[in-house]
Amino acid sequence: MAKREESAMWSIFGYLLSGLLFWGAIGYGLDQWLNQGYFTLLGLLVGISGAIYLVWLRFGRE
Amino acid sequence: MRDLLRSGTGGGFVPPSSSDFELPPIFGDNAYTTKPIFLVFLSVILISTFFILASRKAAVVPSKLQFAGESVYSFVRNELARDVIGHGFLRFVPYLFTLFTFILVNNVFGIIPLLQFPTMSRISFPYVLAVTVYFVFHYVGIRKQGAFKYFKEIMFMPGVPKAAYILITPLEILTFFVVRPLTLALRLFANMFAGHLLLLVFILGGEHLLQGVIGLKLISPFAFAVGIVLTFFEFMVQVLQAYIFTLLAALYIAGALADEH
Repeated sequence: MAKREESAMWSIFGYLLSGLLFWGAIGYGLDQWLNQGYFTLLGLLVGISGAIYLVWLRFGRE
Repeated sequence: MRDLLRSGTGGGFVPPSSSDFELPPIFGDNAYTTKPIFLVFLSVILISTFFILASRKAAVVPSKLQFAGESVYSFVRNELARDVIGHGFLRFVPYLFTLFTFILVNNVFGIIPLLQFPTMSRISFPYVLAVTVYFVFHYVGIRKQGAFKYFKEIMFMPGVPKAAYILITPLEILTFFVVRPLTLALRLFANMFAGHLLLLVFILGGEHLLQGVIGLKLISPFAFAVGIVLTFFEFMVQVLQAYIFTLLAALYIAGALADEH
């Protein structure tokens, strides 16, 4: 069904974006605070993993 | 008119930019008499007139006008509201119908001769629409399930190990309260903005080539031809974006109503 796919696509997009934004921002904050350079990357990776996990929970678990 | 004069003043080609969307006031000296504002009012007048005329002399054997009006209505009612929301969809039909027709007409303004400006390429308009969707779907969810249960369902998905909540709860909150309404508005805005810009590039470019040497004059028709093809393409995008905006609004409402997301 096209509508369900359309909806799933935008939900997944939303989750991936949130993941990168939220954990990426935390990583960036840590970098600024501790004067390091690798927390942003770490945050982005954690974020995208969390988002993919969430997408799996929502859509892949059946 | 400004655009026509611009490339005729001798200098090189001035590519269209975001400043082409900042139109001066039509009269007076304030931000409330610009073209997009008048287009919004015009769209409301057009939509109201059309559907009042279409439904006034409703008959069992419909006239052409009534048939057109009812086709749009039953499309929104059946394809969007009923299929997506399901049980109890009827009370959302007026809202979704208004959203769809309003966005559709304002988008299609982008290719109507003389009007030729998609209202939704000014970001404030999609923002306001997204804010209404935001309030509607959260309100509906809170009314249906109670505030506590509604937020709990969003934040804590059942059947997930407790440690995972640290990772995914912030993402759920961000998705539901920030990313969804924001992307809803930005998608509509960006599509209309980019589409209008694309048409400007080819049509102003064609017009500029026409003023060049003979070799450039010969290329000019191709630029106009692409401009015309893109105009039809734009029409498709405009209809599609009105549809997607309404579809996602309906999906968010359906998600808020459902017991489990």
